[in-house]
Amino acid sequence: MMFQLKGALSPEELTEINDALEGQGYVDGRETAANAASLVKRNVQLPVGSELRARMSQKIEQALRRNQMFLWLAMPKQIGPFHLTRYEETHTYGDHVDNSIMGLQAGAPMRADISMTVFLNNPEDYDGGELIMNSRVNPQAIKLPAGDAIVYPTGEFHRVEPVTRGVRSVAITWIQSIIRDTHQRQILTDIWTAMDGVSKLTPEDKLDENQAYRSLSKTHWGLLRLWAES
Amino acid sequence: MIIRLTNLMKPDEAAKIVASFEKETHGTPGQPMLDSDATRRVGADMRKAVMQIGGFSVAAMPRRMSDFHIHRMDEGMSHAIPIDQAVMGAGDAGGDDPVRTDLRITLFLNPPVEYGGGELAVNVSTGIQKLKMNVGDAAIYPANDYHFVEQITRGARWTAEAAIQSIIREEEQRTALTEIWSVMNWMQTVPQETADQLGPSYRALKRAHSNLHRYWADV
Repeated sequence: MMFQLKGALSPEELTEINDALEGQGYVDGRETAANAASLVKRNVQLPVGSELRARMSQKIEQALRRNQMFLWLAMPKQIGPFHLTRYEETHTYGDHVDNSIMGLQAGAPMRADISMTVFLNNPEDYDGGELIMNSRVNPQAIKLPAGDAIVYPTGEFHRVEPVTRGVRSVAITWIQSIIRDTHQRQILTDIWTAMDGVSKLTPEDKLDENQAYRSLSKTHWGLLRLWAES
Repeated sequence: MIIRLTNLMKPDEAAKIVASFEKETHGTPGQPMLDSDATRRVGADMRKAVMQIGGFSVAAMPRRMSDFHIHRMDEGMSHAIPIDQAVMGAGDAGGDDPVRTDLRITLFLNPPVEYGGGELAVNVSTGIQKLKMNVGDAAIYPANDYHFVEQITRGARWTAEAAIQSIIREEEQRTALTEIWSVMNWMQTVPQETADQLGPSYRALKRAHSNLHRYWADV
């Protein structure tokens, strides 16, 4: 269950973040790659210990926590700190699978159920640099507008194609979900989608009269209660 | 959750059963169950008939069920429904297989006007719900708690009772599936314009329902 979050960051938030990142020092991305991934990683990122990284990460996380679609589809228990990553000309990240446990070294382990890439600049700003999802089984190329995010289950092979012109600027993180099982999250997403669909039949102030909406809402809550990790 | 089914049996068929057992004595004095070769035969036939009914299958999701027992409650009788044994042996259930008693079904065999009192008081998680349904209608409810039939103040109350083993073992899961199914049914009754708008929602629900059913189905 992969989904696109349109406008995860507002134009104002984007401008603020991009202004803050302007001219900053980036270090080799292999600082935070482990095992097989480090062999194929060629990009740069804000140093993980930097104050700027912490501030940007917090800003992006706050924006996400205001996003209803994100909250209900990802059900985040914990959102890892964002990597502020740049792919300059020739940079790439070969086929790899992300770690399932993040933060082990830092002493704050977190299970990576869901991966997220927030796009900080536009597709026209660079050539190449497509995020290829499910690269070994059913490749899909993702290159989204600035401010949008792609959210997908962690654990499949994926890669970023080499950038041949310009710069690809993204913020990346992993999320531990309250609902651990992808299969269950897919079911919840389907029910949420239907709920959202039927809710549009009545004006917002009449939603309590919409029986189908109320019924699906009850079902959604019921399944969450059955499946949620405390 | 209590599932109400209407028209599970035609009123004249129910009336025939009542007429043929009018003079039947109770298996145990003071207990509503009638017990003879004839009632057992009818109970077995009813099981076969009900299992064929599409609406019943969809609502109750039965894996299998026991034969029906014909109950008659006379004036003055009330009935504290005992907790069913968890697994009814093949002999008791009437058939080749044991039946795990997840649900009970009470099928009403005579019109409510013919008797006073006799409400079926079903213990559900949120309290007690009282039912007195039309002839041919049925209530399906979890067998996990003590239910009760209020005292008959006038006339006689006729029902057919059986146990159902569900394909979906857990009550919460059955409730979720039934609720989704109800919304899907409603979506099929809306005007075309609304139906078009709801297309993606219906497809999403259909997939969710199918996946949940498959996830949970105990066959």
